[in-house]
Formats: sequence, C-alpha cells, structure tokens
Amino acid sequence: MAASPPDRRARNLASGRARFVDDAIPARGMLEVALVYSPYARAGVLSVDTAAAAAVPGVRAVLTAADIGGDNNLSPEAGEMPLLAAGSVEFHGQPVAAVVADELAAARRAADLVSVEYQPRPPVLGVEEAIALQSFHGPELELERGEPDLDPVSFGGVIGKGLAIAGQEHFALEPGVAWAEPGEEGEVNITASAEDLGFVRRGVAGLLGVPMSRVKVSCPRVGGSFGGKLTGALIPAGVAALAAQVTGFPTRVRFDREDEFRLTGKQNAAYAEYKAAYDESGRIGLLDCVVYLDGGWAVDRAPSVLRNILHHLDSAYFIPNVRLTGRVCKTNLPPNTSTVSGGAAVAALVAEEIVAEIGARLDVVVEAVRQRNFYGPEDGRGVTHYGQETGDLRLGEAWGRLLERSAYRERRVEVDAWNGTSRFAKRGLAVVPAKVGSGAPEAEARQASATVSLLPDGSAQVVCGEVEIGGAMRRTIAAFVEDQLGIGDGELRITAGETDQIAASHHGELHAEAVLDACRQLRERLRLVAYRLLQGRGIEVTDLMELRFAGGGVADIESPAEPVPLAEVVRAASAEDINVSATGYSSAAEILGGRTFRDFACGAAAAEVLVDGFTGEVSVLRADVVQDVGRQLDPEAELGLIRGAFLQGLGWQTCEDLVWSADGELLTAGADSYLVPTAAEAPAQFEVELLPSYGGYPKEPGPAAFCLALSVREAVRDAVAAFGKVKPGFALPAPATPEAVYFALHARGD
Amino acid sequence: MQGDFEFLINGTPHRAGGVSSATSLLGYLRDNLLVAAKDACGAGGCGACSVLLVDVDGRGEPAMRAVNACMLTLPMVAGRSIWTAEALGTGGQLHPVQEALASCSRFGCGYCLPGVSVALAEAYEGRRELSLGDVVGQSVGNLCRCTGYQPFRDALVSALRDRAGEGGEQRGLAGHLPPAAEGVSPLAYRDRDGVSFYRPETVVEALRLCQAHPEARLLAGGTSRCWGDDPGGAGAEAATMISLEAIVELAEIRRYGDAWRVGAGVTLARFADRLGDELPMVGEMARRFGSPQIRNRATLGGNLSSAPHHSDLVPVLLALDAGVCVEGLDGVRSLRLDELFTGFRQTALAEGEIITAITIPDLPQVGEGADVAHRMCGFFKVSKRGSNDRAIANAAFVVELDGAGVVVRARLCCGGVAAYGARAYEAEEKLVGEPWGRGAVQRVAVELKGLFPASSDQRATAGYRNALVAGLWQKFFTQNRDPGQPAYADVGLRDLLARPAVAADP
Repeated sequence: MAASPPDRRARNLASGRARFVDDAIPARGMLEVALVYSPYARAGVLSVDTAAAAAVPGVRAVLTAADIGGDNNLSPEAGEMPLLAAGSVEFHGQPVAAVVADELAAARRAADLVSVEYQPRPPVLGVEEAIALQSFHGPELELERGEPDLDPVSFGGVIGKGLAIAGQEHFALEPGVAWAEPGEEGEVNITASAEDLGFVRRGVAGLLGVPMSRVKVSCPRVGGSFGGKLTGALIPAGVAALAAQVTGFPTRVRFDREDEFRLTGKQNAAYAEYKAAYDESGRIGLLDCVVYLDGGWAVDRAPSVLRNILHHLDSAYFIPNVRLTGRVCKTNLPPNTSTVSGGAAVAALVAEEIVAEIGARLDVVVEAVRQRNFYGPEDGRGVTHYGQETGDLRLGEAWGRLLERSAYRERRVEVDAWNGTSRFAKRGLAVVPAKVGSGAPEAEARQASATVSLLPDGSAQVVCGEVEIGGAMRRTIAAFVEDQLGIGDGELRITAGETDQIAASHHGELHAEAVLDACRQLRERLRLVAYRLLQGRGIEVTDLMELRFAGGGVADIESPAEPVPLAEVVRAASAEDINVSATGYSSAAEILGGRTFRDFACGAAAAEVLVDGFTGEVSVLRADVVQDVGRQLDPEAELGLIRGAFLQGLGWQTCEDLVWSADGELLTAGADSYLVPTAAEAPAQFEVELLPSYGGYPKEPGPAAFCLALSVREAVRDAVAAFGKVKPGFALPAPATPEAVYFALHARGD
Repeated sequence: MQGDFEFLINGTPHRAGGVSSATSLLGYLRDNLLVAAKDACGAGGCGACSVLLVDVDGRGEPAMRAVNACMLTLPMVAGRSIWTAEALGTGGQLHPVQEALASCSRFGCGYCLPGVSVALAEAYEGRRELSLGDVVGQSVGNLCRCTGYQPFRDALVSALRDRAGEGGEQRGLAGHLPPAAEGVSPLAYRDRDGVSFYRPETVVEALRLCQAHPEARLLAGGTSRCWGDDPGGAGAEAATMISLEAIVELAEIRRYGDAWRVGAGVTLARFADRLGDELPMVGEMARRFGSPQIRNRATLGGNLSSAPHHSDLVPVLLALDAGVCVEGLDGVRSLRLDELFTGFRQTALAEGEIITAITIPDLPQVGEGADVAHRMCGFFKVSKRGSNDRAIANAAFVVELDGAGVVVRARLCCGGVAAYGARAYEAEEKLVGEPWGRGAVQRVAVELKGLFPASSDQRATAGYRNALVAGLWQKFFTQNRDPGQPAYADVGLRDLLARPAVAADP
C-alpha cells in the first residue's frame, strides 16, 4: 500500500489540472486537419483530384506529396518513408492527402471529396508470404559463437519448430497530437507529444526543406508513448508543420484512436524458426535460430529491434554454440517499430519455448532446466554470445528470492494436488527469469548535453532534453544533482522538452549522464571557494577533494554539522568571476565503453493461472516479481513501473490481438476491438519486490518486467499440459487468447 | 421549439444556443477549457473522458453516476448537472479519491488519471459497502497503460477507509446532490442546422412524435443508438432525434402482481442495484456487462431494441421468461421476449412502436410441497478480454428438478453466437423428463452445438463459438452436478474478490 505524501505533479494529474499537448488553449485561428487514407494495402496512385475538396467552404488547403518542399521521407534508419503517398500506396490507411480547414467537420467533409484513382496490386501480408516472395529490407543480420555447425544429435536431444509471435499496438492513452505555428522569418514552432524532440526537429526540417535551426519543438508532457511516439510523433508534427508552412496559419493535427491504429507502426510481429540441442541434464548446447521480423513496408526501427532480438535470444541462459540470423521482412503494413522491451521479450519468448520443451521432453521440472542453464561464473559460462561479460548479474539472487517469497515449491505441490482433483479446470504455475541489457542508446541518439545553473540563493535549474513521460528520468536527474551538489528536489527546477534550449535527443540515460557531468564540473569549480569559506570559519579541511555537498551546504567530511550554505558559496564564486553554470556532455560511446550494453537488468517472476477447460479462459490468480533495478531512486515508483510493464506484457500474451482482413485492413482498430488489459485482468494478487539497492546506475525496470510477463504464458502452458491432452512440445499460440487455449486443448471441429 | 437550453457544469449554469445536436459533451467541455476529460477513444471504451452526472440510484435516490462524456451529446444533458474532475474537490482540497490517487501513483504518464478519479469518486459517493471485486470492477471502464492498475485499487481502498473514519461523512460531493431526485425535464430543441431534438414527457407524446417524424432516431442512454455501430449509422446525422429519458414511467421498477415490471428506460446499473440480489443471474450479468460508465447509461429498452447479437441482457431475460410491453399509437401489446428478435439487429417492432417495459415473472416456488425441489441458475460469458468486452458467446441456464431429480423445466439461452440471442427449445424439450445427469447433459450438449448458426469475426471463429455453446452448458452441469450442493468456486478467486474491500487490505 503506497502511502507517501502526494507531490504537486501527481495532484495536478489526478485532478486534471496538468496540461497535455491537446489541452493547450488554442491560438486564435488554429486550423484543423483531416487526412485522406488509402483504402488499399498496395496500389498505384494514378491521380489525386483535390478540386472538389478545395471548394468546400472553410477549406484552406488540400496538401499532397507535391506540396512538400523538402524531402518527403520520415525514415529514421534507411530507405524511403514518405509522409504523404507519392506515386503509390503501400499500406491500408496510408495518408494520401491532408485537408486543412477552419473546422474539423469541414476538413472531414472535404476529405471525403478528395478523389484518388488507384490501381490495386496484390499486397504482401504476413511474414510467411514475405519469406516466400523473398521480400526483405536490408541485409541479413548474423551473430555466431562457438561451433554452430556441430551435429546437434551429438549433444543428446534435438528440438525445433517454427513459432509465430504476434505484434502489439502501443496504445498510449493519449493519441498522437501536434500543433505548429509559423514564425515571422520562415521558422516553425511545433508543440508535439513526442519522445524525442531532436528527432522530430530533424524530420520536420527535412520535410520543409529548412535548416534545423529554424524548427523549434517543445513538449509539455507526453500521455504515454512506449515507443509509439518516436517516429509516430513525426506524422502529426510533420503534417501540422507542412500545413502551417503552406497556409501561414497555426494548425493542429490530432489523431483519433482509429487514425492512430491505422497510421502508426506497431511492435513487429515475428516468426522464429529454431533448432536447439540439449544434453541429458537439460543444458542447451547449441541454438540455431532464424528470426523474421515484420518490418512493414518501410524501415522504421525494425533493424534496431532485430539486433536487440538477436542480442536477447539467450534470455538468461548460457548457450555455448549459437548461430542467430535475422531478416526484416518487407510487407504492406505501416512501418513497424519498437515497444517497451525493444524486442527483448520476443527473444525471451523463444528462449522460454525452448526451455519448456526441453523440460517436457526430459520429463523434469522445467524450473530446474531453467536454473541449470543460467549464466554463471563457472566453466566460462559468464560470457554472452556477443562477448560481453555478465559480471555482476544478480540473477541467482533474484531467482532464489523469488522462489522463497512466492513459496513456489509449496505451491507447486499444492497446485499439482489440486489439479488431481479437478478435471475441467486446471491451475498452472511457472517461474521464469529475465535478463535485459540496459543503457544501449539507439543509433541516432549518440550524445546529449545539459546545463546546470546554480542560482544565488543556492537553488538550481537544469535544462536538458528529457521529455516528461511518467517522471522516471526526472527522478534520476534530481538524484544526481542531490548526490553531487547537495541540492534537494524542492530547490531544483528541471526545464526540459524544448529544442530551443538544447539539442535534444531522446535517450534519458544520456541526459542524466550529461547532468552528472555538469554537476561534477560545478563541484570542481566550487571546491576552492568552499575551502576558503570553511577556513574563514575556522574549520580545518581534512581533504580538499572530499568536501561534503549535502543538505544545501558544503562541509568538511569530519565536520558535517558545520556546513557553509551553498548559497554563500555560489555568491562568493560569482564574486570571483567563476561561472556557476556548467554544460555537461555525455555520449553513448562513453557510457558503453566498447560493450554492447552498459550492464544487465534482471529478475524473476512466478505466475499462477487458472485455465477453464470448457472455454479456454485464463484467469491470472497471482504473480510475484523480484527485480534488480540497480540503484533505487524511488522504490515505490519502480514497483509501479514494474507492474505497469508486466501488465503490458500480459496483455501482449493474452487478450491483445491484432487482426487484419485478407486485404490488409486492420480490423481491430479501436478501443472496443483491440483489447488492452483492464483492472480486472491484472493478477488478483500481485506482489513485487526489488533486490536491495546498490551504487551506480538505476536500471530501467520496464523492459525486464515486460519480459517477466512470459511467466503468465508459461503458466498457461503448464495448466494446458495438466489436462493431459497435449504432447510434449505442443505449440501454444502467442497470444494465448481464450480461443487459442481452447483449441490447444480440443481439436478443431471436436 | 426552443433554440437553446441550459445545463450545469460544476455548478455553473451554461446556456447552449443553436449548438449542433451532434456536439458531444466532451467536445463542449474541452472547447470551454475544461480539459480534465480527455478525448482518447471516442467510443466509450477507455474512460478517459469520464464525468459525473447527477442521476438516481437503484432506489431512486439522487446519486452521482460516472459516464463517458464522449457518448453524450449536448442536448442529452439539457437541464442536467455535470461535475468534471477539475471540480470534484471542495474547499480548496482535492476530492478524497484524487488525493489518494496522487499518493498512490506518483509515476506513469497520468493521462488517464482524471477519468479514473471520476470513476473512483462514483464508488466513494455511492456510500455502499464494497467488496474487493467491486473495487476492481469500478475501474474496468478506465484503461491505463502505465500503472498496472494497483494504484487505482489502493487509492479507492484508502479513500474508503478514510471515509469510514472520523469526519469521513463530511468529505466528498454529498453537498452537491439535490435533496430529492429531480426528474429529467422535457425538451424540444432545434439546432442551427435544423436538427430537432425532442425529449417528451409521456409515452403518448413520444409516439406522436414518432408518427410525425418517421425518420427520427430514438435514443435512450445513447451508448449504441447515438454513436457506435448500429447499422443505421450515427444518430448524430438524423434530422430528428427523440430521447425517451424524460418519461417517468419508463424509469420505474415496480411489482405488478406476480412479476417485476422494469421500465424500458431503466439503466443496467439501476436494474442490477434493484434486482441483482434477488435474481443473482441479473447481478452476475450486470457485472460482466460493459463498464460502470456504460451500465450507468445503457438502458434495458435501448439494448433490446437495438438488438445486438452479443447482448448479455438477452439470454438472462430469456431464461427468466421475460416479456416485453410494446406501445404504439394503435395500442399496447405484449410479446414474449423471444418473439421480439427477427434477425441480425432486427426486431418485430412495427414502425412507430417502442418498448415501454420488460416484465419478469416470479420463478415457481422451490421447496417441499412445491413441484420444484431444486433450481439451478447460471449466467456465463466468454469474451476475448475477461472484462468490459463483448461476448464471443454467453449463456443463461435455468434448470429445475423435482424431488426425484428429474428435470421438470429448463431454459437454455445463448447469445453472441447466432444473429440474435435465443432459447434452445429443442434442447430444452430433450431435457425435460430426463434425470439430471451426465447422459442427458451430453445429449443436450451435442444438440446445442448445432442449434445456433455461428459466424466468424475478428473476435472469434464460428467453430469456437459453436464449441462454446456446448462448453458453457457442460460447465453449468459441472458446477451443479449435485443439486443442493453449493456450486464449485473458481479456486478461491471468487472468494478473494468477494471480501470486503476495506477489511481486505489492512
């Protein structure tokens, strides 16, 4: 039960006083936009006739690709990804034109009058079709270690299968929104709900054909993103900016939920085909796995996601011989992108499928197989397949703690006994580990800077590129400032989310690191000043390099009770012409130091489910999670973030189900048909514990927690097996919807 | 006809003049800079736009009801009083549930929180004892992607505990309620586009309006007629709308001889409040029907006359032998409920006829000396998401046995599968006269599989739907194999959720 005093931010949010992008008071004459969507998944665009739409009263402009002055391309990685279709449409719902009008109703009426002549072509839908047609983006990725060509049979047992893994809609509660105001000198000011303002700036400047310095992007706060407002944010921002440039008026673009579903990429669906060899103890000796990712028709973040999948196919398990290959498939869907786990959960799902099957084939308890395969210091089992030491991975600790606090062994006995008495409903119990690399910024976010300014009263302000989403990174930044300078949260103002103040990049950890660097510089500059002030008060300074900055003052480490107020130090420094404002810098290269990841977050979870054999319905009775989040800044918040990410993972594996028509139209494009978990789907009992805090970095808890929801999937597998109707290694679809579970138990047509 | 109307937002009178009848309350609020209610799905599915509507509870007492502002048009709130998240606090303080939410969720994006605070405030203001299941159920209409929902549960429990403590009665919104229930006022409004919105006071007036405007769209709560997916398209586009909300008779729940007579305008929430204990199937069905926000607006008559094939209400009413009172200018007629449906979203209502009431006869006496020794009832629903989702298949079963364990009466009713919810007469006939046991149940299960022609959609395949009809029947049997014994519970989950919320979490 949380019981901390609410802060102002939380109060404002709970009572609706906090303003999101679309809550801003509209500027006078704000224009509105309606988009014209492609009704085909793939077609040539022979002509676009906008005359009738342009004649509708109140319409200011009807924009097509021809109105884009710069480069009609949003792709962050490679290739073409036009904002407005040019020459052809490549997915159902692709924007072809944008109608700009005084009122939304007029814009929508006019959008219906834009006449587009299409020449439909057969679309490529789904990974399997793409493989058959060899329709790919970019080259194959490959990762190898050891001797993957060894005869798998020589290890003992061999398993293999193909596994289709569904994608996921981000479903941030706030739909995409942006507005743009044209400036007087050709510049454009954008307010957008976006995770990465620098990326939006670069994209918009490219579209408009103006220097990046002419584009300002700001964001008061984001109503959820989960990866959906990276490239996703560029669509409303790009259209709004273009409309503002063409009409000369401020313009707002606001997606409704269905637009959001149609237009934006999701987490990629994947297809994995693997062969794994294991010995009689259950240890995996070899893994040969090919992963195909549904990239959609253009390249968004799929290559990064694919790399991340290949880096996580080991999950928490040491595998001596591996060959992992991956391809991004080109299909006629929106360009797919990453979500919370960045692909790690797709990889972990495959790893758990393998381990579960080994357990079933050897007829040993699967958690023993899991544990036996863990990374560990002995026999060189501490190095990942990409050569990174797993070093201080606290997996064993998390695992032990989880088994203990979930009373796993006692409950295993109890569940098995109960299942013996219940014929039509079975309980399932499973415990899974997770290991997720942290601190690996994406390619385009390699560096960040931040400015920390000390004010004469001893308070401070920080300016950095961090955007307010959920407040997690702000707590890291505040903690760093308190550590280094002894300035508490109440004395600190963090100004963020404006490209005018900082060349923003979205990776939070880089911002925090830059703030840390700035704080260290300031400490260095104030050291001598503080020394002199302490001396002046007759305090002997033990060690000039070890002054204590705490509680708004600076003190000798031996006399912490007699500090000089920081305000005095700052004023004295100013009087001595010392700059009390410092700009810090950080880069990915520095954080990673040549490693693939800075370090690893890990954890373990136990889930218990009830499967109804009559219907295939699953209830999650209980979940226990233990996670290592590194340094804990706000344990209560970390616990909450873990629950949230776990539930997203649970949704991905149970009720969230993207369904397309045979023509490539998304049929589940709304809150009533795409079903994210509600409060009732959360585990009835849900306990989360953090391993004790330690120094160094906080590790983002979300990705590992998302992966740990696979405990629910594995518990469903356990329950399905308990019905005694399935063979070892049976295929459990992902997601395991009630229908999927039902037909895992009953033959179709049965 | 009047060209404007008034309503109250946060106690302040607003006058809407000429405004389009299609304007949603949500749009109006946001245009008037009351932006706590968010526009996040536009279909009543996410709860981010929740506001409180001053309405009545099951006993007819004034009550605050959480509703989705995206599903109300402005004329629907004419004369009514709305409270938004911005104004739930009093005396410079936040509302107790907002204060509790702020303590319990200092993380997450916060976009959903104003709507959540409204949903939780409804429970707080309802001043009833709540079980843990009620606490969880109170926010199933509010989607959140950040928190995992635990903070909502914690916040409501904490606020309820606070309410139970010293001075708790004074906190909250009680002061904003009128001393006695105020009816919904009549209205005849014409907007700037010439669209008329009528809210007559009597059934006869409503029928006359229907006669005068055959093209008019009828609406009650507005959860499916006004927006949504009924085949006629959005009600907002009709030239005339007739709301039945001001007709007092339609909002009444009364005993009538040996039956309940439930007005067609009674909401699912009031129906369950009033009869959920007496008729457990009704309570169970209502818990699974949409979300609190939807149940607070959706009416029995609206649900029946829009005839969604997945209606959870229909199988339960069929199993209870419900009848439907239908009125037209030519007179009144009564139908058995299963005579009402004629096809997918089609009813036997003639042009100009409306449903005015649903009658639910008392079930036969059970016990010694009576023909019926045991009665078994059950409502079941399977949906892709367990809560706040449409049924893939649902079922209501009533089976009565004599003292020898022979079936004397059976009602086997299914929805979600075929074009409309229906009774399985052939299966019922097969069952009557048979001893209650596996053999008869299996024969009926086979029969049931073929009785409802199913179709496939994005929710489920036809094969699954057909299988579920039999599966639910077998589940019902398994739970009631030994008549007189308590039905088996789902591994304590139900027990866990039935615990009182405040005591459950000391």
